[in-house]
Amino acid sequence: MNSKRRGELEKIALDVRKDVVLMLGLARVGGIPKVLRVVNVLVFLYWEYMKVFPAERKRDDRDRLVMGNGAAAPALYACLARRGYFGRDELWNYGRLGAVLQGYPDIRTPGIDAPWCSHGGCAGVASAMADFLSSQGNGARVFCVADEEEMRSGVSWESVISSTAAGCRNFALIAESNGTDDFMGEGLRAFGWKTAEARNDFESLFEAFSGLDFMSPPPKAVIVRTEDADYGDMPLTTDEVDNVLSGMENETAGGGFRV
Amino acid sequence: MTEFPRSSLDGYLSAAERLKSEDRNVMFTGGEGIFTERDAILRSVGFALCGRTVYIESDTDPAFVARCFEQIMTAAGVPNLKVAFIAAHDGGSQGIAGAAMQMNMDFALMRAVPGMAVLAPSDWRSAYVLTRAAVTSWNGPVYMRLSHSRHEAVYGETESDFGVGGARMLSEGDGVTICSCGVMTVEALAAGRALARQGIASDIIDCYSIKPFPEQTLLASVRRTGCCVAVEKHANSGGLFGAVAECLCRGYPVPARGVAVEDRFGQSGAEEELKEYYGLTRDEIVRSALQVWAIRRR
Repeated sequence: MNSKRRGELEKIALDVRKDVVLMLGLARVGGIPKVLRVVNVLVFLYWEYMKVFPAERKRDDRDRLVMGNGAAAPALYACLARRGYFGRDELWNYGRLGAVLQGYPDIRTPGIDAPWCSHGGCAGVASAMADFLSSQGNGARVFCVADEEEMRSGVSWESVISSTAAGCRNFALIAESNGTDDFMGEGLRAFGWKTAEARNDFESLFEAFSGLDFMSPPPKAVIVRTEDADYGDMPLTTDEVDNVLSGMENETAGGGFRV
Repeated sequence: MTEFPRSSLDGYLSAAERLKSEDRNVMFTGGEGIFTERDAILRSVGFALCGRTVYIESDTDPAFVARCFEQIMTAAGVPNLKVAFIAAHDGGSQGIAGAAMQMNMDFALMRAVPGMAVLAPSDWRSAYVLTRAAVTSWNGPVYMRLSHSRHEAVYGETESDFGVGGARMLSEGDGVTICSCGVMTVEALAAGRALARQGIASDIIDCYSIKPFPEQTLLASVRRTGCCVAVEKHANSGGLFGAVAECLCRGYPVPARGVAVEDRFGQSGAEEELKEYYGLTRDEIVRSALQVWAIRRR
């Protein structure tokens, strides 16, 4: 990946992060670190790696994304808005009664390919979509973004086993890990998956994804090692939102913002 | 009428065979082999999201709707996908297995899921027709409970007037209304004959669609009879009797009783013994009918 492109993606990711902080601030909800952690992955997928057509969002050969990490939906919404699936104004109504953007992903939202299927449910849905598409001769790929909490759920491992057995080839799980143990990597490899590791920056994501072969089984996983930004887990007050936003500006000016 | 007795499960299987060869848009999947039930449901949802209509069969017991309730609710219910959940039997044929395998709460669980249709066909023919109607006449998930029990047919070989939200009037009379579903419909018909010998003519309604419930059919009937009995192989709360009682309270309150399993778990025993023990018999239907008839709304 050249440095110009990396710079562009970093700029987009910063804008997405600002949107996320603002929308969560307005919605008065916490859990900000969890949401910010997946921004780089989503920006990388939506702007660099996945084949998506916001103007023709039901196009048959589009790549699909299934968001297993439901609590991080605001990051996905901010990406979809910037990618043109719906207006950014919708972001400021996130989670309100009657809003397009539900707390967790809902297929009525433009750009959302699958609903959130409770903890551990999304890997099964995503791998079946992938199987179905490939059985139809469709070259589309399916990506499932999950975190450790999702992968600690038993049902996700039932789906891991069945997707290996089904010979799923056009499916990749992106599992985000901010712990030290490698239960996901070890488990997935034990069940015959091919895994790659990446740090939470664009250079490393690019490298990990370049090595994936979607033409043949087994299913693939990219484990992304993340670290938390220091925002705590509580909802932000208006002042705190301002502080965080200006902090983001300053840190970027000082060379790189880390989450 | 058929030459040999067949079950509602047989009806479903015949319809499924036909659908497999005729309709490329329909898929059948089950929780066997490498797929666990929860995973099979999630996979069905994946296929449904790609535009397919999916039938998911459980050959074990209706308890799979309890084991997989979260997946059914969030993955198929919330997005209102065309997935049909088929329970191959009602748990009664697992008599020997006892309480853990006899699931008498499936209607209640599935009725509570918004947008879910709940069906309990009473014989081969109605199961055969409803298998297709479940997805052509309903836009959303469906739960259908079948049975292994082989018994005489309720409907003729050519009958086809079954749809989600429908009901069939099997006999007409102005004495008592008997609503039934699934395997209990045969018992309700026998009870109707017994009541007729005592001079009480009964309206027997096959309420194979427990949700959406055929409210107008029931209300029209109880306006004539003034009393009602609901018969089901299910707990007496939340199932057919629940639907009947809700409908009557809203529209035209009359004395009503349920012939269903009282607030108890199952136990080991032969299927016929269990039916006797829990009061799911034609005699019990007659007794309940006489009780509500005596205090009917006039």
